[in-house]
Amino acid sequence: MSGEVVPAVIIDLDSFARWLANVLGIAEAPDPTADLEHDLGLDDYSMLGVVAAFDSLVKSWSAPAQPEIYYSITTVRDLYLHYLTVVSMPPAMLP
Amino acid sequence: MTTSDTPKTPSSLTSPGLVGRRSRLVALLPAHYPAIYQLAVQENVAAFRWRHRGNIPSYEAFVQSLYSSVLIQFAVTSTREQSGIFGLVVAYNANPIDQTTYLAVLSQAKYGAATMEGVLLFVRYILAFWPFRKLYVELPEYNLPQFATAVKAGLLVEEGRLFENSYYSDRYWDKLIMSISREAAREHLDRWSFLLEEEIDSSRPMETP
Repeated sequence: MSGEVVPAVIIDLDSFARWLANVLGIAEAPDPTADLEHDLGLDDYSMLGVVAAFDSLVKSWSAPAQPEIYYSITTVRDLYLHYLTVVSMPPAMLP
Repeated sequence: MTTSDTPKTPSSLTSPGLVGRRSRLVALLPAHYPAIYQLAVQENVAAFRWRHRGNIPSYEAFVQSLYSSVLIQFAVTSTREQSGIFGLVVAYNANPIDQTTYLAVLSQAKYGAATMEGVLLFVRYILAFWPFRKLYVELPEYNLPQFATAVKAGLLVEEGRLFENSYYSDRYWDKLIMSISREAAREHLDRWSFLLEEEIDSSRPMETP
């Protein structure tokens, strides 16, 4: 409906894992303890795809991009905690 | 017709940009040398992954070698000013006749993905300023798994192989000559264009003319 404000919904860990499975093109949602590199096979280049998808996921929050996503994330749970951090930030002011 | 195929007019020309959403390229300055040296002599890089392969050069020799056969290079840093260096990207052994150059990347494993954003910024920069057809990347065979996705995606293509060229850990490994063609680079730069755009920080005061 035009003009309707649609609240951005924060997804839970299970939903986040299913989102990640979809991004990676794998059938089953990864375990929260799964290591992105060693268990899910992400290398530096494929991590760019995850980060791009992540940015789309959090786009509604207009939060500034966090460089930490590239180097502070080891597991699926880490990535989810990063997600919670980003969606908890005050939205950037729109120009 | 893709965006990159659109004919340019003087008014539509833009700088390729050195700043992505999370990583930026900065000109290499003497203040960066100690951090770059630390990167090059860190244990697993010095041992076998970077060009020194076991040798730890003196700091002075290392600094002198930084500009050997180099066309252009940048330090890769975070878009956050207070953060350290993610890595170094280098174009070297440029051949203006064949329109090729070599590309090298140095980073800590921890900052590999962050540096990869810098690599794409660097490739975009090189292709904007030089009419290279191909960027070559030399890899010892044991480094290839680090680039498996880029190979699978068609960005990196194997063009040559020196069999049993590189000695490490009781055996000889092949040295691979990989290439990134201008066409493949354009395709992948288009794919990741969102990540290669500087984020507008609207909290900064607007500049007035």
